[in-house]
Amino acid sequence: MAVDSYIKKMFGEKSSQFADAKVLLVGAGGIGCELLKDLIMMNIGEIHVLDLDTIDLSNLNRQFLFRHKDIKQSKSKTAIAAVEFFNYKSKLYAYHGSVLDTNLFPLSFFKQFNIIYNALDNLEARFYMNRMCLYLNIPLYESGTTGLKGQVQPIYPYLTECFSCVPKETPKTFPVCTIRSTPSKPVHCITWAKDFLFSQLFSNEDTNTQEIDASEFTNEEEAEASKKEVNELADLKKIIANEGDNEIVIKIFEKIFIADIERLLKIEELWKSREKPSFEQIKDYDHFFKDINKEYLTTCKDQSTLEEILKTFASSLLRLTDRFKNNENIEFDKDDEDTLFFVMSASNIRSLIFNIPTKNEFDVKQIAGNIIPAVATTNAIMAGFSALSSVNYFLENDNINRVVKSKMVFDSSSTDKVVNSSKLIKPNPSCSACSIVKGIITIDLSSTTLGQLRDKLIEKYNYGDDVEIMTLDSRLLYDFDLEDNLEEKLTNFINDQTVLLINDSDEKFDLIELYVLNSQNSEIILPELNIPLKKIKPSENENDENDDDDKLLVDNEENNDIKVTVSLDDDDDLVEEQPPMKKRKF
Amino acid sequence: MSDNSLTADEISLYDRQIRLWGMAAQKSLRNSNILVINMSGVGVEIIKNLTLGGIGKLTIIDNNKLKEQDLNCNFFVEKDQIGEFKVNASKLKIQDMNPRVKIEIDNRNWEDLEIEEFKKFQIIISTGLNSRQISKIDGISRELNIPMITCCVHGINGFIFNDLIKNLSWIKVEFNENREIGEFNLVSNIVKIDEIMENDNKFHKLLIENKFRKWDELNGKFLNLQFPSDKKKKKKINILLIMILSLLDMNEEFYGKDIEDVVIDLEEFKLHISENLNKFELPQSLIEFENEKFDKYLKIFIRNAYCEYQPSNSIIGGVVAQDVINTIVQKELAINNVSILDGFNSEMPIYIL
Ligand SMILES: [Zn+2]
Repeated sequence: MAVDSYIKKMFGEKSSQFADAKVLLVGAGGIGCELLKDLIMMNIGEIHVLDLDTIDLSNLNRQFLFRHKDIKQSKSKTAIAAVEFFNYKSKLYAYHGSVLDTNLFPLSFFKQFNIIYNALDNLEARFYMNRMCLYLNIPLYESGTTGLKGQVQPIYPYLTECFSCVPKETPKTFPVCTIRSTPSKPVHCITWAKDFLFSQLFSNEDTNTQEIDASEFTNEEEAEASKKEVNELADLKKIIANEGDNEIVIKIFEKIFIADIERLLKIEELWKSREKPSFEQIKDYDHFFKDINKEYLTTCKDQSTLEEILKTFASSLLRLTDRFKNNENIEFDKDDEDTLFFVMSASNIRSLIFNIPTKNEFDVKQIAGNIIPAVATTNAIMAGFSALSSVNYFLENDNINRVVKSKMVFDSSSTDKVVNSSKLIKPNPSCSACSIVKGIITIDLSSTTLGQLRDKLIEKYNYGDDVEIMTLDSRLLYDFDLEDNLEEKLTNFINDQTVLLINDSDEKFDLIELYVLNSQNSEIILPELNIPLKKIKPSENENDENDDDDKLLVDNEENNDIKVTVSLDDDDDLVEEQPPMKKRKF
Repeated sequence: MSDNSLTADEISLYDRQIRLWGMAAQKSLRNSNILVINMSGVGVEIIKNLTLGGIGKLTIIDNNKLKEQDLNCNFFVEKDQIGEFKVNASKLKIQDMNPRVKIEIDNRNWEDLEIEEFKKFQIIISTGLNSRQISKIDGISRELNIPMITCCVHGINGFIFNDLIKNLSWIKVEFNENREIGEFNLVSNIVKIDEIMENDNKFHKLLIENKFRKWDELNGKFLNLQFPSDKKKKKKINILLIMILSLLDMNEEFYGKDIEDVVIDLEEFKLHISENLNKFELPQSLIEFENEKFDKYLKIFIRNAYCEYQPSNSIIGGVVAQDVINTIVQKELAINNVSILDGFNSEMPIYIL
């Protein structure tokens, strides 16, 4: 008997595949903690963990590697330290930093890994890692959870759907006039307080630069009123900077909750089919502003009385004013009590005026802070599926077999299965990320000429005649008209991390994207790429139907050895549930 | 203490889950008392999830001592604790995860307990039991009217059986004006229909009464109703279900043994397969012993049998813990009544047995 007895029995000789692997785990949060534990106990040889975040109290209900004493510490470093006592076989490395930071994590950093596991909480980093894996052709195990929902998607670059293949839902936004003039829900007032009022009063950016698009309002009158509000708020900023406490509270209150509303009331068109705002519920405001105090009421989070609402407004405004005067750069943060209380109370005052239900601190924090529910169980389940699905990577020898055996997993609400599983799907041919084949070129920019690069490209990829070389930001470096550039050293045109686009002058092969890694004294090293034939645009195809038929055929054949569409059962009464792509939230 | 409302500290700590199931649910979790029988790898995961979730009291019973092989599936122990009782070795680190949860350990054989000792629990969870033992704990659970969940992991595969007796739970579904009180599916009924509005959309909130079957009374009646033809049965019933049920029917008890000593008697195992096909009224052709493909599958299955594997533990432990929480807070539908984890295909079908 040994530590790895079970794994030896299950996988026999293949156990060494796990021991020899080097993987990267991006994120040490909810899924990350779970996945790190799973990967360690799968006896993976090397696990590198990367996270930019620090630990917060509200993480402790699920991120089981963290304790109260670890609050404010680095997630990745704390996680690595916390697992050490039950780690017998893995070498562990922690990095504290943003995955987007190319100084900390240049492309060459990611190159060393066999698999990358994403355990992220935001779309930007997910899209970025997706691109990196496309350049490097590294399998990416993508996962995410929201409450009891979650999903795992194994991505094998160019063989299966990548993270960008299916459009992702962007956060819901509201029409400008709903927020600025005609709110009807608590979320409208909270958005107004946070994105308009708070940022106008306390942000350091020049408020006049925010242009208002008149077309977004009901009529010109309303747009004009809105514009006035903004200009006057700039004046209020001056008040904040110069006046005494009581004046500040009264002046700001009367400007934003009386004068601005009165101006809106005059625009009759707005109220033809809507209930008019009214001062009825706040008419006694000056009574509560008589003894203004910077200390919050003990019950201020309840927001159940006018007193609680108005006094919280006054206290938070004054506290923020003090911080503003101290040249502090204040930004809204749900965990910064002053900013949260200001947004909460201001939105509740607006709600009272528009006869909308008020909200307590717990609810406002969720809406203003975009808080997503999270539980240990869903994270454990999805991390488990991410790890389990990746077993195929270690047991199979080539990506085609790995793709066939891997599944995408997502939550199910039906009573006949705990999770939905579906086979991996082919890439979307018009995907903005993976429809262009990508790779890395290692090259010594200071000693190589553009001509040498061109020749090497033609030789390596069998271009028939010539190529065009551009940068991703559309600078043309070379085509047959630009022969003069050929003698020049590459340092004159591009840097480390520049992305080059290579186009076949014959129009036979499709465009490719090469990410430049500058390496002194290196030969030109070009990636092994499977460059597809030029795709035919549907419109062109209609005009000359027969012309490119044989090319298309070849194209299809190449992709055919991985037929990875969802199989439909013939006599099935239950329609297979499709991945919740469109409603996917992270 | 237990009747008081949540403290500000508790609300901050459990914030992200209170936003999912609400304050009242978090309070009922705090008042709960759960038993976990056997600290297998999946037991470890269940314990982790329930402790993090903030249940009131957790009792863990296991009379096995820590072995080297356990180190790869128990993240509450260290190497120098080998030889100690598993539960004793783990207690400190379990408690450390959440000081608010009362952790009790017991290193007796659970089969030696008096029936009265089970009375105080709200739910009984067990892991790593065989058929005879499941029958025994289910008998206790029925006698005391306490819901029970049992589960196990066999390498990349897993198994869950729920006998929650009879329970009520709320679910949120799309609005449907034709919906009526009455049958919801073969084993549950709609007993109440509420209308709710969320983000301008109308939903139905349904109170569902779920009925479960005793382990000793499982049969093929519901499978036959759902999948009347042999063709349908072959298509819809994963043979892993029969494989695991048959593995649990083996006479020898394997939980806690050195994995090198776990040897499955193939003749006995195949006999149990035939018995189970009969018991659940399934065609014998569902499993073709002579088929080369099956033979290969069988070899892998046997190699995985009684192996602890962390990814499977993580999945089964997550699903079971969520079913426990849902049962306590009366939300969502728990598995009714058997689910298997098919690690070859990353699938988790649910069967009504
Ligand atoms: Zn794509």
